[in-house]
Amino acid sequence: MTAGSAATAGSPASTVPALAGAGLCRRFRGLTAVDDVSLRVAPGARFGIIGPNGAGKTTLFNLLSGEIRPTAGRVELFGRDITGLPPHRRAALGLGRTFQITRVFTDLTVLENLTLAMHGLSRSKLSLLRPWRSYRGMTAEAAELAGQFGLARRLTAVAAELSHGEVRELEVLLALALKPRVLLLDEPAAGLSPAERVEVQALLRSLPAELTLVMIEHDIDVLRGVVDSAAVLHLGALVAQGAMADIQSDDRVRDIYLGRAVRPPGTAGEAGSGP
Amino acid sequence: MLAALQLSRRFTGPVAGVAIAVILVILLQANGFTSTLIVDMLVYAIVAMSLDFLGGYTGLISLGQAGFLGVGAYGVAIAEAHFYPPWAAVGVGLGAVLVLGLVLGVVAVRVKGISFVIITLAMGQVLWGLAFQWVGLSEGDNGIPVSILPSIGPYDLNNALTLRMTVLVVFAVVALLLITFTRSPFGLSLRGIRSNETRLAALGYRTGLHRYLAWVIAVFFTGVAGVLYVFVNGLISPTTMDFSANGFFVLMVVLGGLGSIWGPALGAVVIVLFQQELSIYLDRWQTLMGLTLIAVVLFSPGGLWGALRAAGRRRDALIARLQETS
Ligand SMILES: Nc1ncnc2c1ncn2[C@@H]1O[C@H](COP(=O)(O)OP(=O)(O)OP(=O)(O)O)[C@@H](O)[C@H]1O
Ligand SMILES: [Mg+2]
Repeated sequence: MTAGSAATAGSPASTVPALAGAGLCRRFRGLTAVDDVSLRVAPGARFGIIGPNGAGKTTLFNLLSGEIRPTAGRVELFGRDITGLPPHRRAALGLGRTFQITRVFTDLTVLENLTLAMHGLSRSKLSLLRPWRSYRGMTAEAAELAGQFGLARRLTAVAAELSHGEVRELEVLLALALKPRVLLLDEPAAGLSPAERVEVQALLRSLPAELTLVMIEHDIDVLRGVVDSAAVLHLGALVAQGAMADIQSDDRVRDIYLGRAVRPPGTAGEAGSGP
Repeated sequence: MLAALQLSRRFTGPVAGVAIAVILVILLQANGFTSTLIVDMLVYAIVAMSLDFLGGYTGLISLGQAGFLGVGAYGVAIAEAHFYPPWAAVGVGLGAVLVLGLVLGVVAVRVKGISFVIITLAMGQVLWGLAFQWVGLSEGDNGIPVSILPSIGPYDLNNALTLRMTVLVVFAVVALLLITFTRSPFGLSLRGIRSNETRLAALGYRTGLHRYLAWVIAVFFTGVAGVLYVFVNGLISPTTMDFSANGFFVLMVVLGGLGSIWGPALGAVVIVLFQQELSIYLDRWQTLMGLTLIAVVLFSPGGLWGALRAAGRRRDALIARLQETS
């Protein structure tokens, strides 16, 4: 297990990583939310990111997906420098993401949500004269995608009417609709019931092997079933990285993160991870 | 009972559409107060529907739309004043509003929410100010008359009936185009922008481009209404594009129901009725209009169209219940 700010997941560092960050920094006024983070995620890797609340995990994702610009550092996708690209260009290059605070289209139906995602990387998104419902291939694929979770019977429901669990599932499906090569998941199981967590885990495990997965998760149990290696973020910096088993047994990691679970309630909050 | 309800579900829309079209064609045959009123409604309805395309679908409420109505109208009037032939003047009016829409769109899509409202308000006020003060071009307060309308062969807009029918046809074409747009993948993307733009960008959409196109479409169709306006009224003056005109257009959209296209057209009908019909009999027509608006907003947030849709949903629910029991 390696410590320090550089992390490599999966196969040897010589292959071109699917996703890489080099010296990433992001400051908000006085606060350094992400502090000199470098990481390389190999193609097909299943990579977890853990860390306490406010560690900078979501901010790191926002740097990778382009929602915010880094103060310093570079982002590479399959060896290509994407630091200056806006989110929609990164999506077109195969980078998908979900949001911790759910961002589905609340006043659209489930079918409309997924169809919108389907058109995302197609020229048809600018088509004006043909009804979206007449793109049978797209809507059929959208409906099939909904079937991967229990959303097949909820196609005509407006997203605002869905249960919390269903919304989280829709959130993941929206990202999957683009068939990304690299998928960033920000706490996909947050706030879900144990049964729903199992469902999410099963879906994540069933994803194609060539897909590169980077997943933020508070719940080590959810992570254990899905990822093979993980990195620990603390106060914006990467403090440990390695196989899941090593991460769990690392003393420093216990201190800054996992240890909190055995402290008496009230000393450190595990709450606040949900939307 | 059940059969009647099911018939109503299938045919209410088409039957109402055809009936309204037939009634309009009949009413528009005769010269007079009624047909003048209807033509005004149709012209304003085009503006209201354009505004809705931008506001109700994309979530961008423009308080400067009357300015673009004015640009279309002034374009025609100024070109005719400079001895352009009528059809060329139409080209100038539409070209001016299109170019202006393309240029101002670059600014307009940089902002959202209340900033967009303020920016469009400012644009509208600048355009109004130009019409008012650039006397050399716009004749200032007096406005510019347009007396010769385009004609080609037997089709002559100087004929009042032909002009009225043309307004009806243009209204129908714009309405159907806007409805078609809203049902397309592009229309879906506009609703996605209103709902959650960050998410849409993460799905590969260049959302700024989509907002830009929606803006250009809305501005252009408003300019089309401006061309019709100056033909119908024979005059364009700054009052047509003043602040209260902008307010009335937003009222039409809210009263009719955001995000329904037909609703704002209905809103235009009601507001024009208040302005032109009720104001003859009632000094306090504005008070009554205000109260009506408050009532609609309170009891039907979806506007008049929302109330109609709600009635339709109640009927559908009743059908479902009856089907279960039978
Ligand atoms: N837009 C912003 N402006 C100012 N500060 C911010 C902004 N976004 C995040 N921060 C701050 O940066 C730090 C890291 O936040 P971030 O959301 O990345 O943490 P996180 O690890 O995802 O936490 P959680 O587990 O609660 O989701 C926090 O202190 C947060 O307050
Ligand atoms: Mg977070």
